[in-house]
Amino acid sequence: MLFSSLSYLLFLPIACLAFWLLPHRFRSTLLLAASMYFYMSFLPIYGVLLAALTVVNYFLGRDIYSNLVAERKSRAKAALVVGIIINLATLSYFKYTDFAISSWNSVVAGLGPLAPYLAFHPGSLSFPLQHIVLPLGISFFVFEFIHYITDVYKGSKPIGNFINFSLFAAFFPSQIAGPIKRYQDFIKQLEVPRVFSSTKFEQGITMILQGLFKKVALADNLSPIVTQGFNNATALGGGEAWLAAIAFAIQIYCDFSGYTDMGRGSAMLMGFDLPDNFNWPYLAKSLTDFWKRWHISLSSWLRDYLYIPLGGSKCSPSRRHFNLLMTMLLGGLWHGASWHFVVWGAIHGFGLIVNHSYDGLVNKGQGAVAGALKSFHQTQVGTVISMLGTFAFVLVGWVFFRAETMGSALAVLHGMASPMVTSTVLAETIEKHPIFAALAVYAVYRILVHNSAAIARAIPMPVSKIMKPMLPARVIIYASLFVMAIGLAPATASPFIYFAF
Amino acid sequence: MTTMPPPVIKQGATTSAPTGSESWTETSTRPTQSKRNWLQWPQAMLYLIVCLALLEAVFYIAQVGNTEYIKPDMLVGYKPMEGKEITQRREGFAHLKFNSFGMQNDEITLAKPPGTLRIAVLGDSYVESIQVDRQKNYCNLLAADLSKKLHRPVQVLNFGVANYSIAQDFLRYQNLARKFSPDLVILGFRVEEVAKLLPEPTNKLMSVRPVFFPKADGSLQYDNTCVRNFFGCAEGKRIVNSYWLRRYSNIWGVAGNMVQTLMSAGKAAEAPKPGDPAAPKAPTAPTTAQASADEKNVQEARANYTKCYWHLMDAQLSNFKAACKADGAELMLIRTPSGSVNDMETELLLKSAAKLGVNVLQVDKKYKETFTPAESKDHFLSHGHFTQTMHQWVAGQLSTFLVNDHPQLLEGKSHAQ
Repeated sequence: MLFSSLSYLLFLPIACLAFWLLPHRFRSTLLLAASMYFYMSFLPIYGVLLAALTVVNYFLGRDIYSNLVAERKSRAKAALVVGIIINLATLSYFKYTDFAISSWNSVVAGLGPLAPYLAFHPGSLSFPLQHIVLPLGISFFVFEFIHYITDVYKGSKPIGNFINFSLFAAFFPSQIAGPIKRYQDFIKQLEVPRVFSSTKFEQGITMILQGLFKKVALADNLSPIVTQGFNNATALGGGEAWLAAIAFAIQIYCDFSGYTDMGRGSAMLMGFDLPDNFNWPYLAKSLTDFWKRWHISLSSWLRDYLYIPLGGSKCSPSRRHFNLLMTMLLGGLWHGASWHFVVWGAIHGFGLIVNHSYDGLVNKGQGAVAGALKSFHQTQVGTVISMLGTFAFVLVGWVFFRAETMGSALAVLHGMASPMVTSTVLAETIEKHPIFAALAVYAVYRILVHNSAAIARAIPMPVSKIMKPMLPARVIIYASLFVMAIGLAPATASPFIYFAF
Repeated sequence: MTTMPPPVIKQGATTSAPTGSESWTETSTRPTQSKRNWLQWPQAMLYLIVCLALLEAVFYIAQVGNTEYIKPDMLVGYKPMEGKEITQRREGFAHLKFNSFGMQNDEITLAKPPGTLRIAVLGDSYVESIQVDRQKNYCNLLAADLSKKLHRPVQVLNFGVANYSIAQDFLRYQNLARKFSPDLVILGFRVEEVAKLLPEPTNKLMSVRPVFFPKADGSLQYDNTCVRNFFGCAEGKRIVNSYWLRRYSNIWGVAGNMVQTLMSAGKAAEAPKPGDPAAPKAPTAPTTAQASADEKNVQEARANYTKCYWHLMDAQLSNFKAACKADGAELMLIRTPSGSVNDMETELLLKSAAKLGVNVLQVDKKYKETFTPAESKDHFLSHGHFTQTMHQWVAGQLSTFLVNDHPQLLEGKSHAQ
């Protein structure tokens, strides 16, 4: 049941209506049942996995807390370690088993030429792939569980109510692809009775419609262009290679932020606030800034539960660089069990090391060069150059992220480096999809939204009073946005990219 | 669990980024409730008009929702709207405009330019070819090829309409194509044409068709009972009454697609799933012998049906040939490949054609001889229509057939002029 599917369009109003009709004490149970139904609609058996992990983490949390209260810190630590191992082992089994096997098999195959000198045949050391189906959202809810037991170990109070705890990981608006929640924020909202607010409800509807537009009208129209480009990477000329890479940058942003908008909007319909995941990431002025704007809930999780435990930035420069690189490598691997994600992580890791070193040079350095660079970055030209440079770097990273093989990634990069070569690989696919119209509509929408206050001020008072849309007019506007999103959507929908992670 | 009385969340309190709807619901500058009540419906009407205009504009620019091009017609059942511009994305892609005669063709004059060879091609969607760019369908490729080979202007006019039967092709010839004085008429004859011979009560516009029954003297009796019934049914009335919207409104097209998606989703949801008590028992895997026997039974039934009703086809082909002859045009048939096989139909068609002295180009047979099944993905789109590569190949086959094997077919009226 995808957020952009017809079945979700039926499921969500029913869940919302039931939520508001029921008294507060039954709402968590209802949401849990709805969330389990939502999750099991993909593959029922994985509901058992989610339930089992929920039970284990719930009791581990209680155990850690009771040991801390009884001042048995070593036992609490042992329980924490056990919890982290169980969660990571589950994630590793489902996500990385085949990756490990295929990597091992490649190493073994590499020993082939040495076969005459070995006492055994290298092929006998290879293992068959297990073809394990990845449970949806496992990377997200496992991280939420690790956050929970770690924070309990650090002294936060565990969740007493089992239903509320189960709902923390299972809550359907954020279940499959985040945002990765912090339980302290979420449980507070569960415990306080939600009061219906028409303002919030309408904000939720707007968010859902905005997310739907991003997903079906933008990301889904870009998807075939990106696929066509990356599948024919060697035939791409300079312009088309750039186009394919930029199309993917926009696609992944619209796909993921569209999902997040729909999830946050769905939660808002029931009075909940989920953390935001994006803040204009492509306007970042540096790579460090980019990671404060892109997939914020993951980057803050990686910072709190990986980078800082590794030593963070309060250590020697070489150790800090190691911490950065390790965090980004593991962050890359989190996205998928494939080497190109590791390469993507490594690119960002090295980029962050350079970024930190440069910041250190500019901000803490003495002398004319450091001063000149600092002043330059404060100018408008400097800001624009920083933004473009950051985007170009991120774009190169996206090429490795999207390409299924290293060869394909290098072919796209080769195309990007050959601006004079022309090709027509993408022409027909671009013509077939109304992507430019969809982008124009979205750009106008964003401009109007961001300047709504100024526009309202510019309109004379009596007119603005009359024009301020009342409920029937707003319903018409929402319906029009929905029709526009669906109308611009291609005939075949693509699954959300982050569902695969 | 807390025992404190729950704090009430402030109306509208949110931590989210602005979404644009906040200013709509703030209360400070609201007019009084009674004023607002009075204003809300005219305001809604105004917003409705503005939103509809905006949607139409966006869909027009984006070329979406402009897929409807068929209108009901009492004589032939249905036909393309004259001058309608469409963008077809369902299978392949094409943006094209039907000409002022309702043909999938560039604008053309009725009068034939001197020295020009005119070929009229009639048939169903395989002739109509709205899945590829117009210049790349086999009609236009054939025209270009023949012009080059014959060193004279050649016009190949596309009269194809999706899902047309031979009876509808014949009516289209009599009412439209013959006005263009073609020298040669090519009739597309796809496998299973025989299935469109009998009257079929339907509420689907693209299945509404009149039929011909042969009289004792060999002439044809026209019967449009099914067409009249369609015009009288609720769906028929809806389609007739919504003609203006179907023709000019892109929103209507988008809404139609949405309704279609909803209905197909509803049907899919209603269909019993494996494991449901209502679901039909899953058949056990048939043995090779069983499968072969079943296939044999199906083939036998299809062969019997074809034999039983072939006299209707025979009479129509005979009258078609006679009409072309009366107009001084040659008639030939092109049998194009599709997913199914009906050997009996092929056999009877060849017999009828031989009897009438009509040439048949069996492209389906040639295709099987030339290509392996694995190559079909380069030749057929998702719903079985031709790709550009296939159009090129079919045009090549037709050109060879006409220029090398049957040049007499190209010695039309204009050549004599």
